[in-house]
Amino acid sequence: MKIFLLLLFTTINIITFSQEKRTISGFITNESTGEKLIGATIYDTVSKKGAGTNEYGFFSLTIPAKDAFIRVSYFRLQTKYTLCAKGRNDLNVALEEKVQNLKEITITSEGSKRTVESTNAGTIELQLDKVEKLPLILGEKDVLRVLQLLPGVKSGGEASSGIYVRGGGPDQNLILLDGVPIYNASHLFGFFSVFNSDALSNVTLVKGGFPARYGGRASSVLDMRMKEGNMKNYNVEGNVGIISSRVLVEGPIKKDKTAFSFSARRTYLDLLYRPFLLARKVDGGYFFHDFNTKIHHKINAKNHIFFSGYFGLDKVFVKDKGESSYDSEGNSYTSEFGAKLQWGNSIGAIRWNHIINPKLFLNTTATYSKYNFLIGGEFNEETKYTDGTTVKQNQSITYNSGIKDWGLKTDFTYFPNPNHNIKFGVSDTYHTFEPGITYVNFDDGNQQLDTAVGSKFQYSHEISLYAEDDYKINDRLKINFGLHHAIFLTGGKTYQVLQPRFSGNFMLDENSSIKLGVSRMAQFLHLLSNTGIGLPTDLWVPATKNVKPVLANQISLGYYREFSKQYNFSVEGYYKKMENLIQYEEGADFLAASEDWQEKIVVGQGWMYGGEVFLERKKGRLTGWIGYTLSWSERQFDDLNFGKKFFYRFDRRNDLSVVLTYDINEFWDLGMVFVYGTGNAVTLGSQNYSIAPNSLSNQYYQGVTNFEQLNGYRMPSYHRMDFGANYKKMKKWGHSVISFSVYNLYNRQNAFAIYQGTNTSNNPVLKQIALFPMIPSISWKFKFDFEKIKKNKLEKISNNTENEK
Amino acid sequence: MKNKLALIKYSLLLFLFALISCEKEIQYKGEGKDPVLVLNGINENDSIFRIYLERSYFFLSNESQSDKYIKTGATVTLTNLSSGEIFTMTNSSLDNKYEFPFVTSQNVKFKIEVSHPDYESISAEMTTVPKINLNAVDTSTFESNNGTRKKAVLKWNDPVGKNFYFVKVSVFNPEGAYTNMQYFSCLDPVFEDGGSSIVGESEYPEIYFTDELFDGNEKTLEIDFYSYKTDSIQNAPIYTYSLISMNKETYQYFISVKKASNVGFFTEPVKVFSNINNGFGIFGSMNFSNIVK
Repeated sequence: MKIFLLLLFTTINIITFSQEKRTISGFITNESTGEKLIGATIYDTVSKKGAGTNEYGFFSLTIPAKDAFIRVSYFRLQTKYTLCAKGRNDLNVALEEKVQNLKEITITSEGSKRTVESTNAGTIELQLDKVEKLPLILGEKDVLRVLQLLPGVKSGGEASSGIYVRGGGPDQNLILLDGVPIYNASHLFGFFSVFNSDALSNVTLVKGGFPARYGGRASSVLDMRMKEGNMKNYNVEGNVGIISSRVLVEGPIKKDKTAFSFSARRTYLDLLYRPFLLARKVDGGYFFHDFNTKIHHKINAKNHIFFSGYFGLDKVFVKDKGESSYDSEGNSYTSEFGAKLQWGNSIGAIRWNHIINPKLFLNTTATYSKYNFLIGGEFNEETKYTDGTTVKQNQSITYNSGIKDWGLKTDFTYFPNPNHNIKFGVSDTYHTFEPGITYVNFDDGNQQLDTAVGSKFQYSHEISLYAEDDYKINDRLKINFGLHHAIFLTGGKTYQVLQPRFSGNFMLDENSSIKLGVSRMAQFLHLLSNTGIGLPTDLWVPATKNVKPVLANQISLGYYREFSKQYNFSVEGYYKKMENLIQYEEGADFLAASEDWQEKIVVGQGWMYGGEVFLERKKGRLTGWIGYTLSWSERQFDDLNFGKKFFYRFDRRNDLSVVLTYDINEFWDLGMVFVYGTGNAVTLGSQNYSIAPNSLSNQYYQGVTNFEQLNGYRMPSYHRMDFGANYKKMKKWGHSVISFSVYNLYNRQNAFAIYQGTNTSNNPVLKQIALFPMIPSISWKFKFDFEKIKKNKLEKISNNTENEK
Repeated sequence: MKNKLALIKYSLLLFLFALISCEKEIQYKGEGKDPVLVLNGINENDSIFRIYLERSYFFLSNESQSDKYIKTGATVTLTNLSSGEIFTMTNSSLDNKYEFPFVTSQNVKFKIEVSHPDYESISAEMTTVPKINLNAVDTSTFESNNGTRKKAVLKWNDPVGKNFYFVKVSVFNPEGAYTNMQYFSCLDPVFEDGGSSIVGESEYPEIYFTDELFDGNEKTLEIDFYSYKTDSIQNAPIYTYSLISMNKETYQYFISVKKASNVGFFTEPVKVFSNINNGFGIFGSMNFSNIVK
């Protein structure tokens, strides 16, 4: 705590105090929706001082106590100039939408300028416009899939959920939706993410140079904000696709006072093929749905309150009712079998924004997050005897795992002068872990069994304090430095980890800079995974007395350049070392319910290093980027692979993404994505041999397979091309976009898994399972423009009146 | 019950993948590894000392079992390090079995070396385990919610020093004239995971454990199992209670083989333990002590 106070006071003391100054503050919003803008730039053209809005759209700028001419800008929106007369201290500015034409494409220069000038290395602010033009996948646009196209961020391959950032695992990403952690970000085993991009307003990914306000994960932070709801007008938009549809409704409950936003999405593949299954006397299916909702209430100019929620569920189910059979004595026997697998997240948050004074902003959030995985089945048997008696036997078994969090956090943003932006805060999260419990139920009329077995619930508190300063030392050098102190209380054990953070940007000239990031991150939660591919079966478990938290130390250095005002180029190298990684021991299976998970794991360390190159064209008809990553990711566990280092399953030597969009005319645009990645590292045998003959046991296999080393074999490389075209048309009622897309254009059979099987001659061969072939799709996106409808209606009435006259 | 859960798991995943997946044969593109000699010899006290010799083979090979046997061409040298006696064999006794002209006795250190012109030479060392005999097995029956059960209390003296054990029970049914492994339950804290222990199905075909908790003391181990009802004394089942002690390497080998035999899609890969330098297999020792009741 002393260190925090020292940091805070040191920072404040070095701030130059001047009597001839004033502080202007307020919110920057979108004129048409009333939505607050994150990262908008406010610049006084007289004093040459500037500031940006924080993650809640608030800014504070201290300038000389004279008249100021303020420029407010934000990508995609029209830059606005406004006079801020001497003596005025509040400034709320609403920016209008840009009138788009062919020469002005959606990605603006402000956005790119910030990349070169921003302090934090390895931070990407995803402009959601980019998502719009990329090929859709089965009619769905997906932010996680777009992030996977950026250097340093990888997908795990087919059916692999989540993102793998700089050699880290899928559990090492802090995924925040409105400040609430999401524990499983995938639908359909990773084909889609749980984020309905219609409901999002801002997406930021931090993969290095972490600001001190973030903590709890070792590899990255993905901070997403949901739309706050349109304060001005009602908006209804949606998308109808081949396998799913979604809709977003937003608008004012009370104009300029209270707004809501609600979105929903569901797949209906199950409804389409279920009749075919039923014809085969089998019932089954798969679906997912999710709902996002948010209410924003402006109490007064200084107080805003937000309620947000998300609920999502994936479910696979099979039911089979056997036909009655009869024995020789005429007794009939009937059986039923049903099984289901489901997983989902539920989150909720209440947030209060308060302007304490023009220089001090407060955000307090209460959060709830739950992730649950369930697999289970029922077996029912009924025997009817000829004497009229009936004997029933019902059995059910359910395996359940999950995690539940309650959290409270308070964040302050203090703007002492334009050269400092200080953030500090405190939070506490109460975790409840349910790491794998099996419930068994049996009833045959005579005997009943109703019991549960498995790992016990575990509870822990995760408390964190932080302070950071974004400090502009001079026109060429900016740094962000701070401390994050985390305290984890679990099962009588307390861990305290002090995590220093630093990142700096040195401008070499107006268009190029060098960025350095150094950080230490602690992660108190582990994800136990059998496959490593982020299946919902994976278990979230806490650090315990025996299992220490993951510690990650990272250093990154990058060169950033903007040239010809339309290209961004960057090259960045990183080195990361992780300690206390956990993995299942040899032969462990997540379903071995009797055992405590701590008895099934081994603890080790990891090294990740590599380089990332990014080249982006952001203006013109043809836009897009090329991202390339060369990387290594290694692990070492004393009790695995004879203690020798081995490659992480998602070690990917080469990873390339090419993304292009092209505007043909005002109606048509095209999008193309090509990805290539070295195949995943898997364990495959090399030699077989016989088991020792012995008189002890006769149930062992006759032969075993020896593998040279863990993850010593490479799956075939992964590559794929997607293509899409959008046809846009303005209608009387609003906007219409018809999207045609093809996933996996040249039908590459990318391996999901490889295994030893047999061919038609019964000889052993190597086989692969590929999941997704070429998938064409068409979808229709609509957006009602109620202002336009109203205007058309009025015009029609007016015309009719004139005609009648 | 565990099997049922696995059945649910696989049926759901197969159902889902069947909707979208396709399977094809692919070429193996790894580095080919030369075959190595495999020596298997777990010698029991009071039995003929023997080993089995073969070579490993590419895991995608479809060679027949007998193609891998090393019957000739190898020079097998067994040295009794305790007495200095050396035995050399160049031909197998039968198939890949090499039998030496003596009976295994306890606490003797052996070294074995095998050379073959086509393969890298291998070697291993081991010491035969001491004889540890069951002192007694006391049996009785009791009534439980699930019917009549038989209780057996096994007693033996554990020698000082690290010892490794397996316990198993086999049952001979005179009526059908067959022998089965008898699944039993055991609540003694000494044994490691012996298989599934979901409540209601906590019965194992065998248990294995070390003497960490009773080193150098007399041990009593209580087990119980379902008791078969028979019509007559002549048809009463005959139980054989076995206490098997073994050296550390053999114990590690059996446990790793047991884990390797249960590998599935969701299971971490298992490397089978071997104490053969430059090769695979096991050169080990064990001692059987049986009481038939």
